[in-house]
Amino acid sequence: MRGTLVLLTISIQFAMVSAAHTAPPERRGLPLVAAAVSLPHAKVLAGVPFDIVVTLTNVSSQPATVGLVATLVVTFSDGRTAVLHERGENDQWLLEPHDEMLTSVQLAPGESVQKVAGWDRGSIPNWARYDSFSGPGNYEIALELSRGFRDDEYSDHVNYVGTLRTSSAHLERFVPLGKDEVLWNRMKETAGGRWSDNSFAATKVGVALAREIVELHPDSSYYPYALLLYRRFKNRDDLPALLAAAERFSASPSLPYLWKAAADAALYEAQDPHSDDASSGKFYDLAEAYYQTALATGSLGVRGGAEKGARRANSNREKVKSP
Amino acid sequence: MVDRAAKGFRALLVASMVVWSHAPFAWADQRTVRITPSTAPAGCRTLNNPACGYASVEDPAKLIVNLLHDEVRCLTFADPTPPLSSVTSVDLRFPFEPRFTDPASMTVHLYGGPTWFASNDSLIGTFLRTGVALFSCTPPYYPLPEERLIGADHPDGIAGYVYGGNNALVFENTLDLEFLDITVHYRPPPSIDFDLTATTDEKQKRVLIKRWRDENPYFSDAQESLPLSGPGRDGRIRIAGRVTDQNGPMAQQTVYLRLVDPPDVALYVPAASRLRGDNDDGPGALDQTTVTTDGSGRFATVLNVTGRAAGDNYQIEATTLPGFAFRQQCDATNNCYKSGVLTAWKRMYVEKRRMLRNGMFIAQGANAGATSIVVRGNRYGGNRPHDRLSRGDQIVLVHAPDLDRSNLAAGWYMESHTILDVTQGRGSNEYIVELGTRLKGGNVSREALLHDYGPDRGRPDDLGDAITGLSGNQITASDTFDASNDLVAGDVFADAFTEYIYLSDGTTPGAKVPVPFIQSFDQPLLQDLADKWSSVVTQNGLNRVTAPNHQLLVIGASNNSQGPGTVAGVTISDVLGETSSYVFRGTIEEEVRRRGGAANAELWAMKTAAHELAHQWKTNGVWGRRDHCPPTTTAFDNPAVYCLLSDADPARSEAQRSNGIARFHGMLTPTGVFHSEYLEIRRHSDPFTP
Repeated sequence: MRGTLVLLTISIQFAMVSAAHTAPPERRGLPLVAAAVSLPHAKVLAGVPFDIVVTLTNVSSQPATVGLVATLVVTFSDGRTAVLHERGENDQWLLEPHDEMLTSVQLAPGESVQKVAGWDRGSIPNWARYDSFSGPGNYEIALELSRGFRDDEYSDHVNYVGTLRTSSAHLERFVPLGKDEVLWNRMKETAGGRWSDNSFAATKVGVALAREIVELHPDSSYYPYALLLYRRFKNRDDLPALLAAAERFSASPSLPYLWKAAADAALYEAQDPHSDDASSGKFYDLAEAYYQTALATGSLGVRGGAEKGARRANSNREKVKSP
Repeated sequence: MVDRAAKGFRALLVASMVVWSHAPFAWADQRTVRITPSTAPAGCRTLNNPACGYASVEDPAKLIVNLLHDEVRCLTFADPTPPLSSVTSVDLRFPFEPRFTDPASMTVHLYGGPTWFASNDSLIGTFLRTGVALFSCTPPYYPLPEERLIGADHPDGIAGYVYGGNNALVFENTLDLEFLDITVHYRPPPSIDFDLTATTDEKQKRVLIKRWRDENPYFSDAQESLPLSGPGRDGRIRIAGRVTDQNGPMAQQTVYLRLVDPPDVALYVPAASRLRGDNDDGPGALDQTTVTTDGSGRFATVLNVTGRAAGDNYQIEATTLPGFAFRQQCDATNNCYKSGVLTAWKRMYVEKRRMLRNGMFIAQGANAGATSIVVRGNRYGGNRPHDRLSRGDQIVLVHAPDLDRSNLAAGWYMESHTILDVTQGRGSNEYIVELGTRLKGGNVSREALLHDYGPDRGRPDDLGDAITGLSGNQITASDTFDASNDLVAGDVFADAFTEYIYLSDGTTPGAKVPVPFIQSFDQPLLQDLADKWSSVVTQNGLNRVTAPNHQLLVIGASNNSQGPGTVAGVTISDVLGETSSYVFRGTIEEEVRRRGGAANAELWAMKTAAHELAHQWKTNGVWGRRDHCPPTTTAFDNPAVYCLLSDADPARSEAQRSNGIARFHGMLTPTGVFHSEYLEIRRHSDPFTP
């Protein structure tokens, strides 16, 4: 009898322990959502924008809502961690894709989604204005996620998980030896030592240097970034350079953006109100083809825009064909 | 000639200027020189014997000077008249001691120059020395009789009078004088009166560096009246005046002009730096420095001011003396006349656009005549967070030209409709909105679009025409965000000699067509939205250009931010060559609501507008704080008020967000250089470009 009681007690305790281990996170006081950052390219040139992908997985047994307003968190090689958000500053970023009105996403139990902070159309995340992680070196990159202004009023979502910090991913910034190193030194110099990832687009010295790179240094690793960033809007005149760059820099993290920019330029030309149907049709064809090529790279950074563009090109071309 | 050998006299001397005598001509001026003992030349005086020994009968307490009668230098006086005067008579007044018992006539002459033997003497006048000396050497002393000699008129001027030098009086006989007032009557030199004087209305003395838009006149009529042809009106103002003398306007009179740079008047400039010649961009220039009056005695030239430095000031000096040949500083005593102080001003225009309080973008093009549109999403958002597009809703469609301005001719427009039905597009977040109303009996009255609508050609995925859900049957002020213009158009920029004018809603293209509702962190997108809706942004190749001296201001909803430090506004800094400012009135109202009304949304939005527009000047790069000054920085004139651009701090600037006060700082940087946003704005290049 005593032996039976002991066995029963042990069994109950085992069952309780097992139950505790298999209980949903919310009952264990754990986050409802796992948030992991990954970098499509863990090795990126110093001084240029890069994609950050976040994988959000609802590990609970109930719906959970995660904010998509991201703040960059950087851990430097000396172990210091900085949350790159200054009081009152517009230095956060809304991850894509997101609902038109919402800054959060609701995940069903077990559901997993990927969101991205890319730099399509020169819209570089606001944290790229900070120069502390732009130079050569090793960094750990994470994000803090929250939902934005009045999202709680718009949203029907439940179980908001609150501010959530993702896991981190390792980023190595590097500068190839030779011409690129010379250029990087000039980038730093022109920016007074404070070159940041958006400088090619946002500063006078950066744009001037980007122009020079486009004109004089077509073999530089910085060339595709310079081409994409020094002027946000592209038209048919830019197509040859974009396509040639896409051929030459097929291993660059910028490749999807080169195709996307080419597609945008073609779509822009296709929609020229002064074009005839033949010309419009040709450019719609090109646009759709370039969007598809951009999508084929698998880049989340351009996926949303490329999908929309491809649909638009396809749909509009049909209208041209059947007036 | 006077018998000089018989003359001897004593006097008490020295000079002060008093007004006393009559004026022989109504227009004439007079100046009086008093000769008393204390400044008499050495040797011209002898102290009275207190015991009354020699002759004088003076009060022993008085200093008595015994003037040697044969030294003309003892009654020498400097010409007190302004240059170019004409002396017509000299009156004398002198208490004297009639120690002679016999009445005698006494004549006074004037000698040009201080030498005894000058030959060019002129009669001043004659008086009768009468009476018996009734003096006593003990109190009470006999009061001295006072003689007033009205000098002879010399309508053409006293011959031999030395202008700008010394003249001497000679009395015919000895006389003891307590003092001698010499009142010189003269026809004044030509007088110069500027049209713009110290008392002229201050705005009439503002010189606009450039006007930029025709609908607003120059401040000053003297600038507005310049001919448009040739060098035109910008940065130029007519400097005119009149020359008169006793006979009225002086025709064909040469007038000499020169420019002076008076000290800065702004109190935020350190007193030690407010100096003559302190203009940031030089002294300016006059078209002519020598002009001739016309038949009405009028003259005119043009002052050319700085091309950029607001607050630089100017004053014009004028004289009829060639080469400004006067001895002292410029004032009327030297035949030198000054204009009022003129000041260079900048003018800035603000194109303010109001954002809708809810709505979504149109996803696909729809031409006039269509009865449906396709929109992105079906949530109104904004002030209708729980509402989705529904049948019967009143909506307004808004349109602005494409970013590339390829359809600019169609302009900005909007139109109202009723939603007939809403269906979701296949496999997308797009919704087809049919327009019209359902009638009784199941019939449908469709509504056709009056204009074309669609996404922007330049970025069709996230920008374009849009719709909004109305709170009533037609769009009203309650459907849009707005902020008062008062603080921006008030003192804060005017103190930097920069006038802010909001473009008129009545005449500015598209001003009444609100901006689509959007909430975004994306600076390029926000810039594109402002550009698209602005009437002053044009396309230059693939670049967009905002008209010079124009700033874009959108009163919008929010940038979505959460967390410490509410973002109540943003000024685009990450788009090269362009900028615009957003006031997030939606965020502000929400914050006020959350705080239980502890702040005033209107005042907060108004101050945020001033803060953000000030950012467009990029005044605070020196501090390395993203164009802010340190959070402890206070206004130059009020230590209790934090600087409009001081860095966010909950206990300081954030606590004063709705105090309705906008002031900048004036202080030293850590390296000891004086810094003020006022001066940065003043010195900013003109035209203003981002």
